[in-house]
Amino acid sequence: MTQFNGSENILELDKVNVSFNVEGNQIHILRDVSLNVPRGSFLCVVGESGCGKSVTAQAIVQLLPDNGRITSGKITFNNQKDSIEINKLEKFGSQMRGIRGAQIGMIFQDTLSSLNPAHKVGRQVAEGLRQHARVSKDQARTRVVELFRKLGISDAPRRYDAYPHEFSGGMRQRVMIAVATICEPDLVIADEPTTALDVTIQAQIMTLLKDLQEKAGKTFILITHNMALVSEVADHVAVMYLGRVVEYGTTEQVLRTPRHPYTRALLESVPTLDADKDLKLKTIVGQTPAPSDVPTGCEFAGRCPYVIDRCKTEQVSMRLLENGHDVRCLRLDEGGNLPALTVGGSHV
Amino acid sequence: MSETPLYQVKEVKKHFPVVGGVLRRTKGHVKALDGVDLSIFRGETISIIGESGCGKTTLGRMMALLDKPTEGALEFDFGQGLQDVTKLQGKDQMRFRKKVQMIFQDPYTSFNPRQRVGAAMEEVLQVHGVEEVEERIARIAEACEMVNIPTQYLKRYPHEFSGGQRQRLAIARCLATKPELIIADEIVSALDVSIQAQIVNLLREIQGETGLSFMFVTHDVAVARYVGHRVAVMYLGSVVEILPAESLPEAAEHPYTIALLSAVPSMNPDRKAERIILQGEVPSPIEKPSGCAFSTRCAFAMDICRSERPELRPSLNSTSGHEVACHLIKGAN
Repeated sequence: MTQFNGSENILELDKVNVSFNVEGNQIHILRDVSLNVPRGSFLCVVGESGCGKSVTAQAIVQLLPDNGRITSGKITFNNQKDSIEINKLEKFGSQMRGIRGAQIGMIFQDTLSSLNPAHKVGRQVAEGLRQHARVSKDQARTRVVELFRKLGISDAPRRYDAYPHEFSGGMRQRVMIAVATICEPDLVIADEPTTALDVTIQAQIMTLLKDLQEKAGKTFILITHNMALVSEVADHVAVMYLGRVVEYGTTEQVLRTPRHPYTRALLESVPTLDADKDLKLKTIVGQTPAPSDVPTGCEFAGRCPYVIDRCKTEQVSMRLLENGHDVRCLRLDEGGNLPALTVGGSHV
Repeated sequence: MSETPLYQVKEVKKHFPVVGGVLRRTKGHVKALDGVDLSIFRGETISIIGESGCGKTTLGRMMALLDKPTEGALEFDFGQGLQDVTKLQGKDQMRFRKKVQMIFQDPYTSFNPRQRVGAAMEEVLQVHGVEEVEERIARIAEACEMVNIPTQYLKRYPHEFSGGQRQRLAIARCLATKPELIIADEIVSALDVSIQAQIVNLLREIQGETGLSFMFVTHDVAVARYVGHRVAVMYLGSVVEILPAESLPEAAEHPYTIALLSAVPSMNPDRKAERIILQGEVPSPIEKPSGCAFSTRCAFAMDICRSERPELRPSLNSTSGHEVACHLIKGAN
């Protein structure tokens, strides 16, 4: 892709902090999240429930719940003309609304609650176009039908007038992709788009997203918990744990040579189709602490098999290893080489 | 594994009526199960896999007698040979329920939020006629030890536990009745991967120590293969293939199994090349295709597939215990 305003990153997050007000207490959910999203890339943000991956997506488009707010940090969106600091924009102001939907598209997991059951799906897809591009009803209809065809929704002209309940889960997710891409945004954020779908349908949807990235040059941020899915589609990966990015790099770097113990543990705890059945799955001891109760020092220290005393007291910062592979782990200081990776089961 | 099965499912069908209109007339049937045959042996874990709507949960519920089959027989061996359990009443039915226990997907709804978990576990034992308090306490303690839950936690309420712990408690509650078969329906799908691994390891340990039989219902092919001794693949209400778990993925023969396996995202770069993307979606269980249910999406469908339903037959090319329902595959008979 051509770089328009000189920046090769379409999106840059710089030390973003997000807090939620829960019954009068400020709960720190995102802590110094920094991320660069290269233009035209497919970035996956992975982590378990409560790690802040969805909140990161919500913060980027300023759709945090009412009790959540960005307390500090900078979110820069580099569109084709200029750099915009999203965090400085009014949540529902005209500038933010001009970006949300038009320049940054969004796909969510639960299609049934994202689509209005009382309106025809075609109209819901066209709404974005009518809002942002100011086209006539007929023009919008033509473009939506055309997009439906491209996205593999058969019998597109008739499906334009159907209601959400008349679609299957997989087809509804295609409609959601249409909603997200009808205005030709450069960046699409997809939050667990296939988690509720069967694997054969998931494969169809992921092929579609990958095509949009490769052929239409769109940038994707995919939020998921599925490491195997990441290895299939991503070119960059950010691993999150308890509100922080703990490892970032290319898919090759993060999945083949993970350096953070948490990334390794995630990879090792999932059985694969060719796992040795005689081996035990590796587990992570204990459970993720509550966000209101984050340990000092490294967040993962309490569950980490490689923990040393310093981990429990010292603040750990992100360290650049090589060629854009960043890891937040103290043990790297000691050149601490961890044992070889055993994906999908290992001796205990 | 012994010769005679512990549990045998014979030609079981479950059709749910679809009613509509002002007169609430039956307009058709959802054929959730359409002729399922399955045997479970002592000391065996059988994994049932398939996509949503294939009937795997209905099968599990039926086998636990939470639903009555429309047709067919469910036979269980109480020690004196196989016996049809669908007609059991009263005490005999209770005896069966004690032997066959079920664990559900959602650990948040399977415990009463107002009852201490210890009391919930004790209640099950009372229902099953364990009269002595000491005996009940001893059994609960034993079960808790197996799932690594300290007994002092039993005074707590369900909300005080995490999802993984609650699923352990649900397993302990089953174990306390000393069942012979545990039907586990998607018990790890609501859990994070690191917790999922703990539960999967736990199940395998319990199975190894107690020699219980497990039926592990899941949509995750890799977990099914890892947990089970055998894997049964279901599609639209029938079992299309049964095979030894360790022979997966290579030995799979049914075109649906092969497509399902290839759709599973993989870390292994070699597996990505052979991806088969199934076109279309699972047909409605109300208007099932005639002949083979998979014929509408199968790349190899022939004329016979659209007219005649294939039976499960032993596969010739593969290991013993491998059965396939497909016209393409030349069976032993």
